[in-house]
Amino acid sequence: MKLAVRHRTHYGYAAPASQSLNQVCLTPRDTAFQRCLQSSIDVTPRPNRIEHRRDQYGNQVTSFNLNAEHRHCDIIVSSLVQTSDHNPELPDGLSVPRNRQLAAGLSDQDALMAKDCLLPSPSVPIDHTVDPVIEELPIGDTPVIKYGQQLMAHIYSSFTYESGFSNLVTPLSDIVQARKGVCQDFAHLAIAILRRQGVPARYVSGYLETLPPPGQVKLQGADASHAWYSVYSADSGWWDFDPTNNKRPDAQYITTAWGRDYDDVVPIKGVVYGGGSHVLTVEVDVNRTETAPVLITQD
Amino acid sequence: MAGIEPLIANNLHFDETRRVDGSPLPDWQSVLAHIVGLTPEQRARRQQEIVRQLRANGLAYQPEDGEQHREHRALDLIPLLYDTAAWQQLCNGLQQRVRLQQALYRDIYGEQRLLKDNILPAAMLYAHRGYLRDLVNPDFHGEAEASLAMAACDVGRDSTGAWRVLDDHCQYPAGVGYALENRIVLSRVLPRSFKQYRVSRVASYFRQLHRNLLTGAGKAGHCVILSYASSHPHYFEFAWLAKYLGYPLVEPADLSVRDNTVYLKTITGLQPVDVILRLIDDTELDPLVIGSANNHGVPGLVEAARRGGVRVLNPMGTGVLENPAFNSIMSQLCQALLNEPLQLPSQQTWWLGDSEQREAAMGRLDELQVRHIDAPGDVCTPAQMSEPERLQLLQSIELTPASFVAQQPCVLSAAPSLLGNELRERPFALRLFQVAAESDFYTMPGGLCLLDAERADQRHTLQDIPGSKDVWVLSDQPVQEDTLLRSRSDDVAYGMANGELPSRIAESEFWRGRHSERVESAVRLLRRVLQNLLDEDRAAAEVLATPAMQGLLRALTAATGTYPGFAGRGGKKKLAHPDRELTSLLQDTRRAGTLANALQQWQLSASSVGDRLSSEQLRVLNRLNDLQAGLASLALPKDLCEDAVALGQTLELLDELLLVMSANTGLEHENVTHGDVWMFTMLGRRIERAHQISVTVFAVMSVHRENPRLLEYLLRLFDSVMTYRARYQSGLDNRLVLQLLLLDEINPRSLAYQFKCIQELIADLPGRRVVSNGDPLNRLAVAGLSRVRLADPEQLLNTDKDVRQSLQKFLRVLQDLSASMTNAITAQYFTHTETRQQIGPANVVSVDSIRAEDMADSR
Repeated sequence: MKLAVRHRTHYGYAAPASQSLNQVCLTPRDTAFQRCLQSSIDVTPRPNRIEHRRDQYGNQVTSFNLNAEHRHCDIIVSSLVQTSDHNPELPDGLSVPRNRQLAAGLSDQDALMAKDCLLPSPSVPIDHTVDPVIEELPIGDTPVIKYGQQLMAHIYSSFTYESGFSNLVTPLSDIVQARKGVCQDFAHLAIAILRRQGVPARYVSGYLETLPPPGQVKLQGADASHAWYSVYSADSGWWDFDPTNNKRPDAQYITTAWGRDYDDVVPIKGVVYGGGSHVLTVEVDVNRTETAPVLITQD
Repeated sequence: MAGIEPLIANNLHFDETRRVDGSPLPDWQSVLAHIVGLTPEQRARRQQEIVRQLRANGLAYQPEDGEQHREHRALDLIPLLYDTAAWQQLCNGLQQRVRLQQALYRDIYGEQRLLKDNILPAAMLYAHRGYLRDLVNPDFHGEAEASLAMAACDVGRDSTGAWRVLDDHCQYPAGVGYALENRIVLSRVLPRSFKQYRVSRVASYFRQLHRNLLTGAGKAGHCVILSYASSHPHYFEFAWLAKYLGYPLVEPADLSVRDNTVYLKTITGLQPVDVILRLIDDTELDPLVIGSANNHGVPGLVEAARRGGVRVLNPMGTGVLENPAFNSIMSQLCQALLNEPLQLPSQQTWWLGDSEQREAAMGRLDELQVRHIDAPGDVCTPAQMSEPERLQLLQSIELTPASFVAQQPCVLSAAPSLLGNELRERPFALRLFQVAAESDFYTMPGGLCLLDAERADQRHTLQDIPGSKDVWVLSDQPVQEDTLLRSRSDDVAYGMANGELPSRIAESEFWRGRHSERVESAVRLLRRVLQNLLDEDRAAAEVLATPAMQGLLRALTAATGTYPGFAGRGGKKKLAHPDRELTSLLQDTRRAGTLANALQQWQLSASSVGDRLSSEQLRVLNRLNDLQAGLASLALPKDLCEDAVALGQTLELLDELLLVMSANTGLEHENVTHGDVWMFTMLGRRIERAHQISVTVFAVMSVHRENPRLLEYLLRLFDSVMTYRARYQSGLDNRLVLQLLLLDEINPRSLAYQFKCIQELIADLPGRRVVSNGDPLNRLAVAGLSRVRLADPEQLLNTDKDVRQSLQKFLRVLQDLSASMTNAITAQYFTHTETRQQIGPANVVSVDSIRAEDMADSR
C-alpha cells in the first residue's frame, strides 16, 4: 500500500522570537515492512540551511535554526511510504531466561538496542509503579512475544482511552491509578511492564491511516501521530503491538522512528529566544495514493 | 610541641612519612622538624595568614551575606611530600590510564568495536548517565579523532603503600583551581621552604593546557572558558582558573549558536568562538540533547561541535568515562585497546549488572561499599546500615542492577597534618591532573590533597572538603621560577580583544558602578544625620524638630528610594522618632535601597566580575565585607538618637566605610586600564551620581530654599564646603550653592560635571564612531549637558508664580534623563542580538523549551 503523509506543525508566538533552534524527527524510516519512497521538509520562514543525520538507532533527525526575528514558524513534512501487505505469523519467542541468555552473546544492532531497552529510560523508570498491572498478568513461563500480544489485549480491555487525559509530564503512576490514557501512555505502560519482567521493549512512533465512517468524506487534518511498542526476542527480532487498538501494526501503519521511549524520538523539539507564549497547531493527513504527495509551499 | 599521635593504634593506614620498609623519609623528617620547631606564635601567624588569604580569595566570588560567616575550607600548613622517582612512577601509571580513557572514548563514540566484540558489556555502557546517545553516529566507521585535552584522577594508597585509582574525572579538571590556589597561598606563607626543598612548579601544567587551547583556536581564533553562573558553588574555582589562564569566563547565556557557529554576545555584537574550555557537565551543556538534566546550557552546542563549528574541551560525552563500573574490566580494556598490561590498578570493583559478579559481591556485601554509578559521591556501607536501609538498597539493586557497583573499601594512607593546633595523622586521597602534551599526557607535579576524603557514607565533593594540603614534588634538580602570570607576551592576541567584552560583563560593571555610588551616597547622608545628632548640644528631640534636620531626613528617603520613609505617609511620626527607620536604613538587608542592601548589591555585582578584579580591589572588597559584617552586628539601641555611644560607634564604621569606598574609587582610576570595562563602570557611576545629586537637591530645596544650615549640609554632603569658601568668600547664598552643586563643570561633585563626563564616556564607547544625530544615547547625553549649561541659578530660584516650579522641573527632567540613559545603554549594549530588536526584559534571554506536539487520538 502507498501512503502519503503530510504533517504540518505551526507555532504562533505572542511576541517576536529573535531566534529558534529546532530538531525534527518526523521522516519515516525504512523497516522490514516499509520503505520511505520520498520525504521533504518545508520550513517557513526559510532557514539558511537544513541538516540531516541519523541518530544512534538509525532514525532520521533534521535540524535547522531560524536566526531572524519571526512571529510564526511553519514546518511541513511530506512523505510517501510504501508499506508491505505481508503480515507474517507471530512467533512465540523465547522464555525470559532463554531470551536473556541468547541475547547476551549477540551484538548486532537489534540485539544492542534490546540491551538498551532493558534498562530504565527518561520516561520509563524501572520501579514498582506497574506492579499492580503485572499481578493481573504475570509473565511466568510465557514466551516473550506471546506475552507481548497478551499484554496488548490486556491493556486494551482494562484501560480506557481518553483523549487529553494526559500530557507529556504525566507520570506512569497516574495512568496506572486512573486506568486511562492516550496511545503514548499505553506504549510507555507496556514498556515498563515488559522491562520490569526482563523483556526488552521499545517505543515506536508513527501514523495510522484512518478511514471515515461509511458515506462520509474524510476531514482534512483529522489524522494524528500514533505510538505503540515493540518486543524483542533473540531468535526472531522485534515485533510490534498497538495496545490502543489491540492490533498488530499492518499495512495501514507507518513507522517514523523508534527509541527507548518518547524522549528519544520527540517529533519536534527546540528552543526559542523570546517569543512569549506560543500557540501550537498540528495537522496530520494520511491518505492512500498512487502518486507523489503535493508539496505545499507558502512562498 | 609533642610528637605526632598515630591516627589509629592498629596502624592499618600506610604512613606517608616512611618508606615501604618502614624506614623514615629524610625530607619528611626535615619538614616536620621545621614545623614542630616553630614557636606557637609563629605557627599561629602562618595559619592565620592562610585563613586570611583563602577567605579573601573566596569572598571575591561569593560574598557573605553579612549575617553569618561561611565555613571556609582549610589548608594545612604541612604539605605532602614526594620525591621525583616515586612521583614519576605514579605518573606513568596515571598517564597510561588517560591514554586508555582516550582510546575508550574514541571507541564508544566511534566504531563501538568493544561493544560488538562483547568486551564491553552493553548494559554497563548504556546504564550510565554520561553516555550521550546523541553523539553516536551509526554511519561513522573508523576511529573517532576526538582527543582528551585533560583529565583528573583520584588516587589513594592502600595499607601496603600501593597506589590505587579511586575515581576518574574526565569532563573537566574539577579542583585544579583549588590546587593552584593552595600552591599560591602556601608559597606566600612558606616562601623559603619552596627554594630549600626544590619544589617543582605547577605552572608547567597550565602552560601545556594553554598550548592545547591555542592549537585548537587557530591563528585568529577565540577561546572562552564556559562555566556555571556566579551563584554556582564552584564558581570561585572557575574564575580563579580563568584569570590565571587569561581567557574570558563566560556563562551559557553569553553564548549563542547560529547555523552551527558559536558566538559570544559582546557589546559590539556577536563574535565567533573557536574553542570552548568547558567547566560544565555533559548533561547540562545543551538542552537539545537527549538525557539533558534540565533546560540549562547552550542550545545547539552539541550540533555545532558535531559539525565542526567549534571545538569543545574536553569533548562532550567524556562523562561516560567516569563510570566506576569500568573499573571491573579495566585490565581487559587496557589489553584490548592499548595491548599492554594495566600499570595502575583500580579499587577492586564488582559490577552488579553482571550476574556472576553480582553473586560474588552479594556473598560478602558486609565487607564492601556500594555505589550508584550515576552518583559516585554517595557511598553505601551495608555493614553499617540499618535493616530497613539495607532492604531498600537491596531492592534498588534488584530493580536496576546495572546501575550499581560494589567496591572493596580502601584504607587510605595517612600523613601528619596540622589543622588548628592539633598535629595528627589524617588519611587522604589525592586528585592529580593530566594534560595532553605532544606525544603523551603530562601530569601536574602537584595536585589537590583531600584530607579525610572519605566519610562512612559519602565521598566529599569539592564544596565540602574539610581540609586540603598542597602537594610538593621535590625535584632533584634546581627549579626554575615559573608562572603564567608574568609571561603573557605570547598569548595577548588570543584573548578577547578590547571591544569584545561580553555584554553580561559590561552590564555587571555598569551596575557595579551604580551600586558603589548608591552605597557612597547612603553613607554620606546617614553620616550627616548621625553627626548632627551627636554634635549638637541640644537634646535629640530639639535637633529633630529643626527644619534643616527634617529636610535632611527627607532627602535620605528620597536618595535611597526607601519610600514612604520620612517623606511619605507616616513621615511626621518618623521625623520625630527616626530611630527605627534609621536602624532599618543601616541594617536591613532585605529592604531595597537601605545601606545594608546597597552594600550587598554592590558586592554581588562585583562578585560576578570577580575574575576581572585586581588583587588590591579584592582586598578592598574583603575589607568592605568585614565592615558590612560589623554594621550588621552593631547592637543598635531603640533610642539610637539619644545614645551617644551607639552614634559614635556607628559613625566610626561609616567613616571607615567611606574611606574604603574612596580607596576603591582611587583604585578604579589609577589601577585599572581605562578600556571598555572601565568605561561601563564609570558610566554607571556618573549616571548614578547625577541621579543622586538631582534627587538630593530636589528633596532639600523643595521645602527650604534659604535655610543656611540646610545649605551647609548640602555643601558638606557633596564635599564642596572648602571650594565654596575659597571661591565665594561670602555667607551662604542659595544661588551660589546651586551654581557650585549643579552647574559648575569643574567640581567633580556637581551635576554639570557628571553630564560632561557622561557625554565624553558615551562618545568613547565601542562602536560609536559613526552614529547619526538621531542616535538615542547621543541625544540623551547632549540633552543633559545642554540643559545644565543653559540653566541660570537666578531663574531656577525665581519664586514668581509662573516659573515657581522651575527648579523642580529642571531637576525632574534630569532625573528622568538618567533613567532614559540607562535604558538606552541597556538596549544598545546589554541585550545584544543580531537584529538588535529583541523584546523582553533587559539582558535576560527567556528560553522556552518547545517540546509540545501532543500525541493524539487515532482510535
